[in-house]
Amino acid sequence: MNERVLIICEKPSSAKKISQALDEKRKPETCQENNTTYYIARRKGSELIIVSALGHLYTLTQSGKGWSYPVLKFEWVPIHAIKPNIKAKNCIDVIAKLSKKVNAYVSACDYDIEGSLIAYNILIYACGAESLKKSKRMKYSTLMEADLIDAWENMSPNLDYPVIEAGKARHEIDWIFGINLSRALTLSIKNVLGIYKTLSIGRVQGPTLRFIEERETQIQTHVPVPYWTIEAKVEIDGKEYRLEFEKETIETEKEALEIESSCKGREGRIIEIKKSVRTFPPPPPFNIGDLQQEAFYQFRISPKTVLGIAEKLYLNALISYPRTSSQKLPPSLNIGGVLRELGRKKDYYQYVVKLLNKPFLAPRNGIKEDPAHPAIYPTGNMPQNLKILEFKIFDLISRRFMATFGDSAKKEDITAFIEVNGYNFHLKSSRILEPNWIEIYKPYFKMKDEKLPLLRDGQILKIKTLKALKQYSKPPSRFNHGSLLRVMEKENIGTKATRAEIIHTLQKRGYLEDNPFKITDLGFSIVETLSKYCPEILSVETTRTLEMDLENIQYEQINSCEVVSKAIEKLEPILLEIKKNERTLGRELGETLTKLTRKEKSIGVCPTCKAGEIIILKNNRTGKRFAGCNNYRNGSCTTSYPLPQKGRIEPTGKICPECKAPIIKVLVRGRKEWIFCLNMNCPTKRKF
Amino acid sequence: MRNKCSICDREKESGSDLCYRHEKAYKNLKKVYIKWKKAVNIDWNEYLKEVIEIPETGTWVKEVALNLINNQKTQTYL
Repeated sequence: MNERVLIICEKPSSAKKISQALDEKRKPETCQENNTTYYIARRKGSELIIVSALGHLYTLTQSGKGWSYPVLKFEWVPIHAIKPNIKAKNCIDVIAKLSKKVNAYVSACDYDIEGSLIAYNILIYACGAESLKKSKRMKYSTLMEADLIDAWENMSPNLDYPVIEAGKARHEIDWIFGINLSRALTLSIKNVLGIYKTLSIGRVQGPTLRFIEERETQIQTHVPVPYWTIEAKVEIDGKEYRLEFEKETIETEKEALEIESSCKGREGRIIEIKKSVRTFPPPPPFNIGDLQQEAFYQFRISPKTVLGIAEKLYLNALISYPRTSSQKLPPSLNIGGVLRELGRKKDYYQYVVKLLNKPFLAPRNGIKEDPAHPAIYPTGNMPQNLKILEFKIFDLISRRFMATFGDSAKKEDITAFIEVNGYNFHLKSSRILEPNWIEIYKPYFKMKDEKLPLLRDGQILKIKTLKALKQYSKPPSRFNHGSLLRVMEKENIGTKATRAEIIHTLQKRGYLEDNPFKITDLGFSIVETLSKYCPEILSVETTRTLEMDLENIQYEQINSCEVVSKAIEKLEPILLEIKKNERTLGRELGETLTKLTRKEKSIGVCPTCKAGEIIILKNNRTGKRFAGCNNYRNGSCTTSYPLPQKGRIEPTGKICPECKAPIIKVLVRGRKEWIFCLNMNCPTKRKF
Repeated sequence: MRNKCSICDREKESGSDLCYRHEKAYKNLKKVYIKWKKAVNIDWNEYLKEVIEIPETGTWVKEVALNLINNQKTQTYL
């Protein structure tokens, strides 16, 4: 036994896979201590102790006490020091104990900024700073045995410090922005109105919320413009076909009616027939953004769920590492091997046979690159016991992977130019001549395939119907998960791994509702107030510049301390401005919050005094909730009703036809909603 | 002097009777009227009435149009 090595993995499932791959007999020893599992593998005379983190075991916190801002001093502490977390504590204790028995360390966490930082923090804080000098880095993109052994045998002799530095800087900047801005907003309301309500905004949340606010403003200020289209149908061999007028839209009613009267009931004559063939190259393999957008488009699954599923597939060694920006497959990939394995699945067999018969197999890679990982690809392992959604994502990735090796598809477009009393119409059709890659990706590819009967120049066609149709311009669509991700990616805000989480946070904070996303009154208020007093928080430019700096740390083009200092320099004047305008800011946000609270509490109009509102109140003595008229304050109405003590109460906006009391809805998790009028003595309740 | 928008309770924009949202909606209403006039040769009052009825019209625009109709301030823009 010449060496004892501590291998740090990111998650328990990857620790198990790595220990199995590295143990010469494929049977690592499973050990348990303090409810924490670790493995001992033996390889070429060395003893490998494989431990696992549970994601981040260390986090940032404020140095010193006090709940004010600015907070610019911070430190890394174990997560259980912030919030009780016995699992994390046990995990750190076991790793610290095991680290004393070893003489070398390996970071085997996912090869990205989060993974590198997780291992670094464990090494420096649990194993001691000395461990860093004896640490190496395993880099792999799949949890396949061969890849893991290759990663072990070709380890980097040092930790990936530029990536670690980038990760540290990102966490520190996000923490500084998040804590200071959230405290500034929360305290502005508390100091002015005495109300405590946690409000938060971050450096990426701000611009993202701004996009949604701008879109909602466009929708709410949209004035439709009338325009006309000519809707016409022609009959050929007893079948109707749609004709397109030469102009897509007509601006004036006069012109539209003129066309209608000139062409209605007339015959059309084919003056020319044009044919063209277009080729459609296969799509590139997925990166995480493309996968999230496509999965949302195909299955309406949120990006956060897609990321979770993709990670599960990765941990089961079914796909390569999903948090990647790359649209390129690695040249070293054994394409034939992966395809052959996929071909074991009945649904894929025919496509695999076709692909393997090609003289040359080359993927159609995309443009985007990622220095850490290639595009997402299936490993060739066959899925077992996957849930429906997991299987859908696996199938989507596998078909996309196979499709990238397909030949370009060919489509034929035919346009017949038809003249009707001096006006030109088009009769269009298109059909797929050679489906090639489309055949593989068919469940996820929608293309109209319209056939026209045989047409000839000079042919006379009967116009079956023709009318000018008045229409109105439409406002832009609200963002959904897919389109918002696309905008964030285009504007380069957030990272491939954080974008989905940011959208989720905005929803959780109550700034967004529904899907497609609608900004709430609170969201509107946050954007409007911040754009008045500290527009930099909402600025895409500020965030984008910071993102670029953070990225450049990885490429050693800029120092991480410099980037953090620059971020603090940007933040300080913003915080000063908020402090200066604290009263106005607090009053404006407070007004919205008061209105919202009133709206949340209000159930309907009081049926007794007809002037007051029935609101949800709490009995100071018993703490129980009840409904009562808000005119009780001036003593003019004492109407009150008991309320169920459990569940969420929502007004329905309806009143009871018998007693005129408001009708409410009570929602209890896991139970059917309960709708009833507040009055317990109402005649409608006699039957109970 | 009342500092609130004449449609909602929000603070009004300087030099206007309306808040930022309604002012923006009002500006759009005026801008698009030129296109409507060309398209259907409609007068301002009829235009406002029609705009209110169209489902695609933004809520803030509808509020402004309704307010203009109710307050009979419409002649200015004829």
